[in-house]
Formats: sequence, structure tokens, C-alpha cells
Amino acid sequence: MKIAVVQFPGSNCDQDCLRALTDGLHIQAAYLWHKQTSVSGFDAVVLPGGFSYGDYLRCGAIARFAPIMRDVIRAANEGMPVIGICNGFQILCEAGLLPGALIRNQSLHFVCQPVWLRVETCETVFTANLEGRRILRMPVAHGEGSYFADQSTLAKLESNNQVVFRYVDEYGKVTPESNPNGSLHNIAGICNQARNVVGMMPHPDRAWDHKLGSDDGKLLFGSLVETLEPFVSR
Amino acid sequence: LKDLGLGTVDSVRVGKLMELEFKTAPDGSKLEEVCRDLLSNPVIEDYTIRFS
Repeated sequence: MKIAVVQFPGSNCDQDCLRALTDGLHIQAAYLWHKQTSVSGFDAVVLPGGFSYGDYLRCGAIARFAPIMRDVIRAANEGMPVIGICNGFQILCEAGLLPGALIRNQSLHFVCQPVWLRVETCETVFTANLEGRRILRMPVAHGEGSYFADQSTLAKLESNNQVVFRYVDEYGKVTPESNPNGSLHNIAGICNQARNVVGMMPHPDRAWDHKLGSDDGKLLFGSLVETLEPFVSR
Repeated sequence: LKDLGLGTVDSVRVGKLMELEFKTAPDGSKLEEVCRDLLSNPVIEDYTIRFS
């Protein structure tokens, strides 16, 4: 199997994502430049973190119109697994592949710190191996990570079990103190209704080796590999 | 503002203003589309189009 890591001008976690996949999990991965127009030959797509197009206008607003995104949107709608991390999550929301939006952190400050996450559902390809509300450790690093959606969208996300990760304390409890950015319902990550598109603000790509402080990020990509492997004929 | 002598101010609004210039008037529905899809995000923002 082969995974695409999309590079927009201003992406800065593209190398982290690629290394997490190739060095951390020993799977094939390659960059896809934003001007390319097809994801064919790939089995999944990663939209990495960074400041695509300088985050001008709004985070992810311009990246959503990048040539490669047309095919990413098509592939996602046909069921290809797509994960957006940090700026990638913002792009997925702007592209309409995920509901809601990510707004300025409540503190108005950029936050860069390790957080605890609770896996709320194992019904996505990225969390299939993570049953039992596992608690994961990985960093966040963002200025606009506060998840916002109107009440009816939030209610729908909750009732469809589309909240994938929530900020919690080290014991797995949802508390206001464990929420680094003011996200509604302590939401750190969500999936679409078809459950193949996942967006998350924390960085599994910065947590795939003990030397990085945690290797919990490997679990997400590991889930993806184990879920997809039987269906990939390469 | 009040300390600076503008005691009668009723409200203040800070927001984004985008000025687009055209030699020929643009198609209204195209303008709406661009405002909705690119210039604003209707999930978190409202927009108004004004001509001058």
C-alpha cells in the first residue's frame, strides 16, 4: 500500500508525516505536490499540518482550492481514507469534507504543548485498533484549533458517534482544564458520516517514536495499515 | 474611546473589509458564490456585498 502526503506551499509537517509513515511504520509513502491533479496510485491521503498558502484569508481557505484537492475530494467521496492533521483538519473543514470550522484559540495564544486524547470511537480506519476509549499522548501546536459548529451540527456529530478524539486529563476525564483551545465539547478530532475522512488538531506525526516523547501516533497509522492491507493488491 | 473624548459612542465593530475593483461589473451570482465559498466561511462568518 502507498500513502500520499500532500504538500501545499507553507506545509511544514509534510516531512514529519512522511517519516512517521516510512521510518515509523515502514510503509510506502510519497509526496504529492499541490499542483498535481490526481491521487491515483495511492490508497490513502494525508493532509499535513503547517500554514498552507500562508494561512491568508482563513486557515485552509485557499488550500481547499488547490488543484490536487479536487481529486482528494472526489476520492474521499468515493471512500478513500483521508486524514487531515492540524492545518489539514482546517483544510478538510473548509473543503466541506468535514462539518464545522476551527477558529482562534480561546486564549488568543498559539498553543504548543503535549495533550491527552481519548479515542471516542474505533469505527474509523485510523482508530480501528483502539478499542476501549484508549488515552493517547501527543502534542498540539496551533493558533486556530478551537472547534466550532452550530448546535444542530454538534448534536448530529455526537449522536452519529463522529467525535473521534476528545481532549481529556491524564485519567481520561473531560475537563475544561484539559481543553487547550476552547473547542466545543472538548473536540480534538472528528470524522465524516461515511467515517473515511478524519480531521484532528493534535499531531500523531510528531509522536511516533519514544525519542519524540510518545509513540502513540503510530497507533493511528498502524490502524490504517492493518485495516487497508487486506484490500490492497500491491 | 471614552477616555479619548468619544463618550457618545454606542457600539464598535471590528471586522474584515475586502475591496474588489472591476472595470466592468461582475456577474452577481458569481460574486455571491465567491463570497460564500472563498472570501467568507458561512459556518463562522456573515457577509454583505456593497457596491460603490
